[in-house]
Amino acid sequence: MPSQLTDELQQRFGFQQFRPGQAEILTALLAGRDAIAVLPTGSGKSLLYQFVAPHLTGLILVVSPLISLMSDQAMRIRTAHIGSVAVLNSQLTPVEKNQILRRLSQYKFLFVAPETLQQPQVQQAIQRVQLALFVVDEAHCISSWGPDFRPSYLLLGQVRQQLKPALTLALTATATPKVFRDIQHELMLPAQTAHYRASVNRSNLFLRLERISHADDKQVRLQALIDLGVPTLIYVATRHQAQALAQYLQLKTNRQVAYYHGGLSGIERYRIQQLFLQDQLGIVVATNAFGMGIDKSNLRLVIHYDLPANFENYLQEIGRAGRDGQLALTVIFVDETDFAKQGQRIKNGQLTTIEIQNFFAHPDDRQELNDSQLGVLAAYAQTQLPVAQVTAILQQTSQLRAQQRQAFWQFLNSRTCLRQQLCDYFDAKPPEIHHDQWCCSQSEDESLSALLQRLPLVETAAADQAPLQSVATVLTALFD
Amino acid sequence: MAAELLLATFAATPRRYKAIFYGLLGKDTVSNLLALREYGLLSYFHLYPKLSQSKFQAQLVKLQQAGWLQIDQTAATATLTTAGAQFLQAQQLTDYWPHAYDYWQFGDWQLQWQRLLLGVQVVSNRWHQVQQYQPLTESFQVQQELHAWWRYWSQQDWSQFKIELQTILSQLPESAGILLANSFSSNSFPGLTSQHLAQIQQQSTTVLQLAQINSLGLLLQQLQQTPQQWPMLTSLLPLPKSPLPRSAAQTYQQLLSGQTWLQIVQQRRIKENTLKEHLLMAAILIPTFPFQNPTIQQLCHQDPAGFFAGRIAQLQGGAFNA
Ligand SMILES: [Zn+2]
Repeated sequence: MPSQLTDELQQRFGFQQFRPGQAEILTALLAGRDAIAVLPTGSGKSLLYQFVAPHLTGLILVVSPLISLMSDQAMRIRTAHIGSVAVLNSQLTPVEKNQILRRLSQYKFLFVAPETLQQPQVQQAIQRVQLALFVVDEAHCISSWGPDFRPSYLLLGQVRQQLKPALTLALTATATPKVFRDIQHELMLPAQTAHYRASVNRSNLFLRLERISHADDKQVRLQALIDLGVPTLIYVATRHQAQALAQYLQLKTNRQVAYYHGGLSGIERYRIQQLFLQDQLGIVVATNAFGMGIDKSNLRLVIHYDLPANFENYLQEIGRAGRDGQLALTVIFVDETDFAKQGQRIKNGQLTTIEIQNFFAHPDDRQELNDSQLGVLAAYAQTQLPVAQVTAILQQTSQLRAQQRQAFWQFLNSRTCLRQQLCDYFDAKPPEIHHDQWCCSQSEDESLSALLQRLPLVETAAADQAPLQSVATVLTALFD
Repeated sequence: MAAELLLATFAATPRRYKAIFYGLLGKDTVSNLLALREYGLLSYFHLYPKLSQSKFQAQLVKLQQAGWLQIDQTAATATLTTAGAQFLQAQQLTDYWPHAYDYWQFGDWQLQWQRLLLGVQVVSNRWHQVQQYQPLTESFQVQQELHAWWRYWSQQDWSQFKIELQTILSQLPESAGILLANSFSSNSFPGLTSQHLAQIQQQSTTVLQLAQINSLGLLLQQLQQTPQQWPMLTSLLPLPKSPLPRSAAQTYQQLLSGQTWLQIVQQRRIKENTLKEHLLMAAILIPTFPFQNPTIQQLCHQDPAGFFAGRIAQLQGGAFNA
């Protein structure tokens, strides 16, 4: 069987070999078993459902949390001529939506946002066709343990029971044992579900922990890091900080810097991603909105200028570095005052039982809530779960986040091998790490400048800042 | 939006700040539209469809603290202070607003902006035979429109598009042409982020965006004046046929066709008050509104002291014309 699969892979996709885990999952699916695949980002998760498409009779339904992820995947399937594709999301007009739903039997793939899938009209349309495979992409969103928890994912288990797909495939890049259990449990998958779980260990990432004791330490070290001249992503805690730090850095370097956060327009975010991918932008300062769906393979340096929310976010964010397999450096600034500030922010953002109840009773009353709190509540309101359950979930989530944050703080204050700790925390069967000079270091062991001198990071030719062009020059570049 | 810029929406007489908020957001109730018309802000309707109320209010408080705005909580109004009026004048804040863009003539600027950028991206990538790329906008509506536009012109010589674009950009004021050109992007021309553009122009990104909207408005004005000169651009950036929403446009058509109130009501099966609101919207938004129409006169005579008659009288008298 595996060699037949490899032949098919070569013929249909032009790859010589499967990535780790792909063959195992495909074998299970083709034998009629449900599966959960935990594979690192960029390891070809979407190949799994593309591959099985011609082997299955009926529709492949892919639930995906982000519009950009959906349109990107849909476009890839279209250009590779793997099958006809439709995308259902909240941006469609009712007429457009009805059109797709009426012609559903003509499509091989349907991409849908979890919120859209709750609509009875959508479910009825899917029930009228044969459902071959139910794919839950970014399945970790189902778990309140996961970094991207989305209330709308909680209803997918129910939906799955109603739609009765022949097969189910859950895909994710980040799953601790707890998240994994949540995926299986919430999707109500049978005990004999096949699974493959890659270790979180990425040997080409160097883990660096940089202890900060003075206010200007951060800036001095940051300067040394950006002087490396490699493609760099800097994570900060707030939108305001992203903008302020980017503006500060622009004065300190000739490389082009941009800030990125959820408040920017879609076109602007798109353009920043594109310029960054094409190495026209050297440094991006971002909040955790820079995430799912962005894949820059030659990212050499990820800096946590501020603390990430917890262990899970940290793992996900450093995981964006070095996807081309070459050495990449990840640096986290550890500052006790940041930890305290973060605690305060979390406290300020916490919703009380009364606020939650008020919101559900009078959704138009903004109370004293900020936009992100209202966003959270609106997401829950859409799921139509009872208030008591929402309150319970929110309380449970905030307790979980607090535990995760404590565990992370412990990690940041330990002196043992960081990689070993990472594996111990995340892996089901943690490997034993052989720590060496390419593994990890902390500021107490080795100065940053010494480290930067010995690490052979591959440089990328970065473009200078482009000036404003004349109309004629732009049009020539566009159309000649 | 920056708080200072918001100052330009206020005056030395009290204005209802909620009407300004809902106007910028794009809520088309009659009372909002009347207020916007009175304040001379009607064209800025729907300029900030994502404006958050808490941010808007925080900005008002900021302006109050700076001593530029006086807020009356009970009346829910705000008034420019003398210092505020001076600051507004000295900084020429009103100039930053996109005077050339009129929502009622050109429609949602975000849609027009996305159509223009996506159109340029698609044609440019096609020109360079780039097959696989991510469209600049995620909007399914705009993508569908682009497909239709592409199919319609598929037999044409695409160099015509370049010529139209080049000609129209060179006819705009130089700064507007350059700003639009540098906002484009495709695989052969990555373009500049708004942040970078703003930095080069030494502006905030907010001011830059208003300048982009204004430049877009200037371009649309050209299209509106001589549509036959720009066939490709005109079909890429369609202008709304009527400023009225569909249902209101229908009511207005019935009025124009000479129907009596009874006929209108019987045909539509909508609440009478809603139908009256439709007519009021038309009276606000359509310069050629026939105030002397018998049906309008009849409605005013039925209840001379009512809301409808009162608004019609105000609108007709031009009492609110700023
Ligand atoms: Zn180590």
